[in-house]
Amino acid sequence: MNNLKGELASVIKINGLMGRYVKYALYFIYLLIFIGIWQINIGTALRPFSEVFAKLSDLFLKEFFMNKVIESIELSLMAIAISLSITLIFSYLATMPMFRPWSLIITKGRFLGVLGIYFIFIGVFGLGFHMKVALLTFGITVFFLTSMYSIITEIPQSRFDYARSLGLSEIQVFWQVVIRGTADQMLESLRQNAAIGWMMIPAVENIVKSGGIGDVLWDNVKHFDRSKTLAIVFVIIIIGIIQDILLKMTQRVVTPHVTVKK
Amino acid sequence: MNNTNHHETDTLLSIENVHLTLGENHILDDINLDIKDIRQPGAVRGQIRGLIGPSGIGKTQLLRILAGLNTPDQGSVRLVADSHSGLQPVKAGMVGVVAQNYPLFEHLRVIDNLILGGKVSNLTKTQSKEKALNLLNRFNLFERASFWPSQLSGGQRQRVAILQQLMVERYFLIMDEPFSGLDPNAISAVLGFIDEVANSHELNTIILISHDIRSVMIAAEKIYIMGRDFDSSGNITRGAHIIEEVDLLEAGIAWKDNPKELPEFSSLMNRIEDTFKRI
Repeated sequence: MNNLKGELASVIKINGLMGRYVKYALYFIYLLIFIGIWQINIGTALRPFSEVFAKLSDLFLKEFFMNKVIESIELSLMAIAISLSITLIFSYLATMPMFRPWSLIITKGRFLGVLGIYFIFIGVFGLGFHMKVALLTFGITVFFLTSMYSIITEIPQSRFDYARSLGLSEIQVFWQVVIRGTADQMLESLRQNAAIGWMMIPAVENIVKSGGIGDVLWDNVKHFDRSKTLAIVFVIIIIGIIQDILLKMTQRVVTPHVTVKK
Repeated sequence: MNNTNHHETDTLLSIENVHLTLGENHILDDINLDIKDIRQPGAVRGQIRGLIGPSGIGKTQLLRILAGLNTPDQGSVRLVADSHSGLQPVKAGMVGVVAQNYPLFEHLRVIDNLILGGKVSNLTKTQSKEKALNLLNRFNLFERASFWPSQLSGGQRQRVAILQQLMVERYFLIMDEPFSGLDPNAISAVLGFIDEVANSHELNTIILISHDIRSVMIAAEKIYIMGRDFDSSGNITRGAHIIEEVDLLEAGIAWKDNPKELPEFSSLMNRIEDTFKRI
């Protein structure tokens, strides 16, 4: 009993610890609150659960929604892969001051917006899947590179001094200090920016209009079908959460030292 | 006083006329010192030297120059890289550095941190692993071989950081504030460790950069005191230089079993502390 009291007291303490069972109980309570808020808002912004889940089942069973989901997942994976390649090349090059302006110019693309870049890309990629990949890649890269640029350029001088004084060659210094030494931060940043990708997909697929979840979503928004819109949003959230879990698992495998118990 | 029957032979490290200016600040001004090989018949004696001076005087800048990580504006640092050749200009990697926060590669396990040091000396992975396990065993860290650096205590981390430097075949090691934040028992353990490492090869040379005058006096045979000159108004008139070289062998303190119990230890420490206050 005292133990439980202590655990409960700890969850409202700054930097407090949370036991496993307290955590599950807390999540359950929050879920109930969420459902409560949902129920209160029915008729204004939301629709009842049963209606949303009926639409969800209709989407998959009657409207070939799975094809759209696969198309959007494919879009997301391609954009993540290309963004990762571009970001790593430019951020690692930023270890040399000569190449830093390249990264800085690309990161300023954050202020262009997807629609702004659409008009630049349309002549190159046309209207289709490639255009969607290009737009999403751009959207992820400008934020991912901003974060990676900071990570790479803020590696303390002492880390380089340490590696060099150990006698490592410049290539070994680059491998151990820059690539392996920042891999945990890189994966964390990738996880966050890949999640932002799912926020952008509906917008990108609405602009390009060539299929995918976003296309269906905007159709239903336009027709004010709230229950179907919520069902699609629910699918996007679930895919996003699964992607997040997979990337977190990748982090644990690739950089196990970060999750080890101290 | 001196009954240790020692003599100095070849110069192992030579710092000549080193000057360094950062912006408008003249940090180092004509630093000169030689570290010679100290020999004692019938014993293997490495060299342990102390470099002390108040905070902000430029000890870290001198450390970077000594380690070949920075080039002075003027002057040179030369050292003996192997037993067959003479003095050579220092380059990064010729002098090991154990920084104050005991850096290790966090993404490598303890054993892999040490193996990486061995690879630098062109040992095969098998040779590196064998040497690493021997060192870990010798310094009571064998059971920590598969640990991540973040799982080590402060004292263990310090020893692993030193062992990593020992994996690289070279004679010079600089330790920056090796006694900082340690309790008296831990300081004794580190002193023993430093002594063992230094005396494992005749040419091994450890330079201790520290504020802890007492611990440096126990470990070293010579102490170099860095200081600056001031005018009557207290303004700095000259950058840091070696203002005094204290020979602890001549003073009868070095290489003794319990030097801090000697009366000359206390009087010399008081004198160094007085010097410290003036700089």
